[in-house]
Amino acid sequence: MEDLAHLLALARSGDGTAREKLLSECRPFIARVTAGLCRRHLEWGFDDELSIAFITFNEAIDRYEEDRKVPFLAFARLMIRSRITDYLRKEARASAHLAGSLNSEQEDVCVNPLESSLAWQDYLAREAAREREEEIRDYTRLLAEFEISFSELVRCAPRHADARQVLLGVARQLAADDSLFQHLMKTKKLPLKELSLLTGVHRKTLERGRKYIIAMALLWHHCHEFLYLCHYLKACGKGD
Amino acid sequence: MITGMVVEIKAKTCIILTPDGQFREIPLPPGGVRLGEEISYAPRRRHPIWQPVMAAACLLILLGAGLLYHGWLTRAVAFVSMDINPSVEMVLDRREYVCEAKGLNAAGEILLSRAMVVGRPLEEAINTLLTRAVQSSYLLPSQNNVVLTTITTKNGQEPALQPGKIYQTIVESLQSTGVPAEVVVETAAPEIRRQARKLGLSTGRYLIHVEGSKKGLDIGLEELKREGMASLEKKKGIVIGEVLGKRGYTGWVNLPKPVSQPGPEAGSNHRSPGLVNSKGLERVSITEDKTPRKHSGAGTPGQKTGAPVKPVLPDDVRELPGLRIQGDPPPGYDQEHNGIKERNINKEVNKNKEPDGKGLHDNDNQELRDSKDLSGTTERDQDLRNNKELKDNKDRKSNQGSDDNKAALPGSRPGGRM
Repeated sequence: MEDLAHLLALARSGDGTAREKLLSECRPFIARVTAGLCRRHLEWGFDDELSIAFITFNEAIDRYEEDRKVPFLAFARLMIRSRITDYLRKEARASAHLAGSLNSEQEDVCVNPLESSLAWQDYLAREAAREREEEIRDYTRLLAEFEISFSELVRCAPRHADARQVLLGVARQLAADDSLFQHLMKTKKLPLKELSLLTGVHRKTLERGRKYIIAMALLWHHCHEFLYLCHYLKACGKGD
Repeated sequence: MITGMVVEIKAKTCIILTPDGQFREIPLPPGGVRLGEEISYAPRRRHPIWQPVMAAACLLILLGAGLLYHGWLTRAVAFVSMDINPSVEMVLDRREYVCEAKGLNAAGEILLSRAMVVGRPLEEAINTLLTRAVQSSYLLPSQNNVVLTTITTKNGQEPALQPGKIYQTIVESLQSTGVPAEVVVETAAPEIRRQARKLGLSTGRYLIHVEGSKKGLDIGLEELKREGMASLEKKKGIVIGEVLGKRGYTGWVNLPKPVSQPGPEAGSNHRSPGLVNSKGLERVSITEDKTPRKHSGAGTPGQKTGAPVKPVLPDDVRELPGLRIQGDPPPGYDQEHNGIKERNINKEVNKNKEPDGKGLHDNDNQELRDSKDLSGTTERDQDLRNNKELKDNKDRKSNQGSDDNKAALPGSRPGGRM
């Protein structure tokens, strides 16, 4: 995530290689988002949707506004979604009346300015809020699998900033370590011993902050799904 | 102030996730929230209220404790009444500071208006009062003065202030002003003080009435109220110290006949007045011209009282009579003493004949040598000269003097001299 933000900043300032790197790194993300929208498997070089998405993503790099409090990937996803929807609608209409495509060029012209209008801003805000809400519901569901509720997190999350930093660091390491995370997902339990060895944090401390570590590790591990939540916690993540 | 993303909404509260990874449960904002909305919340004014309240409470407790302690310190615990002619009463707090003073007669009020005693330590107050009394001619060097002091504790317990100390203070104060007086320090029960107040008398005067009537003396209350101490003595032919008996401290300051009287507390207390009296004797030599006058005039009532009081005090062997003799020992004894003294001085000049003297007068000589070592010879000579002068008086008195006095003499003598 940090790399991404860094690359994004470079790309926006006109660094060509950074932009290339960012685009290549985000290809799986673009593919996933587009596939989700089209509800079918897509392949690079075959499907127009992917090309459109890729071009849109490139555009999103320039159009992203940081102060909007929407993470870049979420913003790009929203743009891709709106473009792909447009494209799909156009495709549908074109296939319905083949002859009636006289206005198609005109429509295209009409759509583009819409994206910079107030309506687009409004759409973006509404969609972002909806996505965020959706994300939180997903997260709640995911936590429920581990029998963790937010109320419990309120109770057991460390109040002291230092203690919280320690547990956040542990969660981050756990999320980054694939084998340990798989162990967690399988057993729904923290691999305390291994984690203690890995992080050097005392077992007791880990045990006490068990639920918090799990919750945070899940969040970090599924960072691309919980874009908004991760982005929101980034301020804290950067501090490490 | 916390800001966070709403992750759960409950009936009245919502849970937010703050950017620094905290989960907090806060009350639902009035407008309602959506999931994922970012809201800010200023924590209830719990701390701003509690901290000042706690601070204020602490302050109040401290203040209260301080006030209580101050109140406890400054609560009246003892009353000291002084009768010269003016009668004043001072209320003492626990630190032995005067927290209130009132005159019990017109003269007392005048005296108090001239002497600031409130808020001063007792010793200082006594000093001031006596100095003022001298300045205002209530105490005159030429007349027979009586300073009667009574100490009463509020709850009737043993007084924290030592009568001996007060006696000492008064004596020292009088000596520094150079006024001879009879000093009496008495302790009285709170009951006595209450009755005295009811009758509008000072505790000391009422005590005279009570003790006087016990001893068969008729001292009217009106008379007590009206008369000064000295004039009362003169009129009634009594010595207040005798009337009041054995409980307190009695003595003459600046008289050649110092009298120290141990009350219930003997021992060390007994010695200190004696020391003062010996100093008093020294003073006499300076104011020698006054002494005989004093004796012929004011001294006589003292002599007269011997007769009326004595029958009332059958057991009183080493009280006043004995102490009076301390000032003027019987002639035989003293002469012998003088003789020895002279011889000793001579021997000191010769130095080698001392063993002879020792052999001749073992007991007396021993005593004398002790005292000689301690006090300078000149002082000693002064004492002796005084004694010689007193011999005149004593010769006259010896008619009245009882045989008991002689018995009491050796015991009391060293105490008086040392």
